[in-house]
Amino acid sequence: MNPVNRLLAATAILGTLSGTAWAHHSYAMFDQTQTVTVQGMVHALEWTNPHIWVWVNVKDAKGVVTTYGFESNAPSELTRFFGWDKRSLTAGEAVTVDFAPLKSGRAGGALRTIRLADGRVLRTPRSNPEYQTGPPTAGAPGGVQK
Amino acid sequence: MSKHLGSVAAVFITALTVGAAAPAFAQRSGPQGESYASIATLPDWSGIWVRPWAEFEEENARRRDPANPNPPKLTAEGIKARDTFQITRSTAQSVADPAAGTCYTGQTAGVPGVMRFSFGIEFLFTPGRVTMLLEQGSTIRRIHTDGRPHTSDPEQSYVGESIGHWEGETLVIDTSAIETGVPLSPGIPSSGKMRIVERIRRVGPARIEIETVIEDPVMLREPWRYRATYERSTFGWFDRKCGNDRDGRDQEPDLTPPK
Repeated sequence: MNPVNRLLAATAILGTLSGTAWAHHSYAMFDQTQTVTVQGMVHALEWTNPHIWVWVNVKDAKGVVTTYGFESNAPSELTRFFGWDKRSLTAGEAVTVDFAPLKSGRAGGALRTIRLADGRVLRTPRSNPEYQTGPPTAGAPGGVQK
Repeated sequence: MSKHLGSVAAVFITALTVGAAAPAFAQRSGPQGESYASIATLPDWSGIWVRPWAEFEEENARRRDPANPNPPKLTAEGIKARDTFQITRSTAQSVADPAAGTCYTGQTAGVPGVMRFSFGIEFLFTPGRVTMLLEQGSTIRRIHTDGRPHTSDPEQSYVGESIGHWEGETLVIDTSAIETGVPLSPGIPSSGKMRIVERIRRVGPARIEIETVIEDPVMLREPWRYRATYERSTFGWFDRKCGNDRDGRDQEPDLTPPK
């Protein structure tokens, strides 16, 4: 096998590893150009790796309750840079949630910002609407230069 | 790209054009940490160091920006390998391979990628060695500062073989034998011939700077240089053990709420 083919073979094998070099995953399943807002009551905070999940019970006009799931970042990032801790949310609290919705239309998305009744605001990297993770877009960066 | 980001990038590039043309590596000067008495005279790097969020965010944006002023300059082989990787990644079947495991983010990114995250790094000094503990992937880097040369035929690994020395208060690390395919930048695999020189120094009471020069004769047309800073964190060490991977490799998430 010549060196380039060997490299390409290794690339395929290490494809999963290469993915770790950007922030976790690309969030391709979320429409990060959109912001949707819902109001509801906290069901749970999963203070977990690789990312936290916030679960909120949202009641529609007919009184039907749907539990939404919102993904954010790692506990370390939210603690060090955004002021969260594992007790930032309590089950039953009223919250207003901004999020980038799932493209599939299911009940959930990438968390942007949570506002609580007592005035607290829990921010995340996606409180900045321009923030994106994921691989470079094809053909853009990465050094294609003549 | 925002104006702010543009100005940051400009400063970044200006800074990178200063310095030697090739990775300087040789001149030991001052204490080398060969004994505990010698270690006591080395700079204080205690604590946990984390990249400032704004810098991390700007770097991510820069990498995605077609006008990125400091991309790695790829050879034809490098472009081919990068494009092949992107095609692989965009093929849902291949990236969603269950055999790859569901918690892939727990793996180490290897060197140099492990240094670029917004996660914690600790430095431990023992005689003849500096050890770096990294939250990302629970990675350990062993840097031998006892004067030994690189081994003649080292085993490849994700973190490579690191030989270091002190130049005054700067730790200089030369790393090679990095596993073929470990990314030199996100989405760009290395060739197995990558060599990395890092120069680490304190630039303030709670600030460390790492200047990195990457060479890869197969992938890069010229050395790729960049700088990153790290600030001492007031928080403790965070586990990255991955226990709640609901969407793995960009799959539709498991939206089953917890009990």
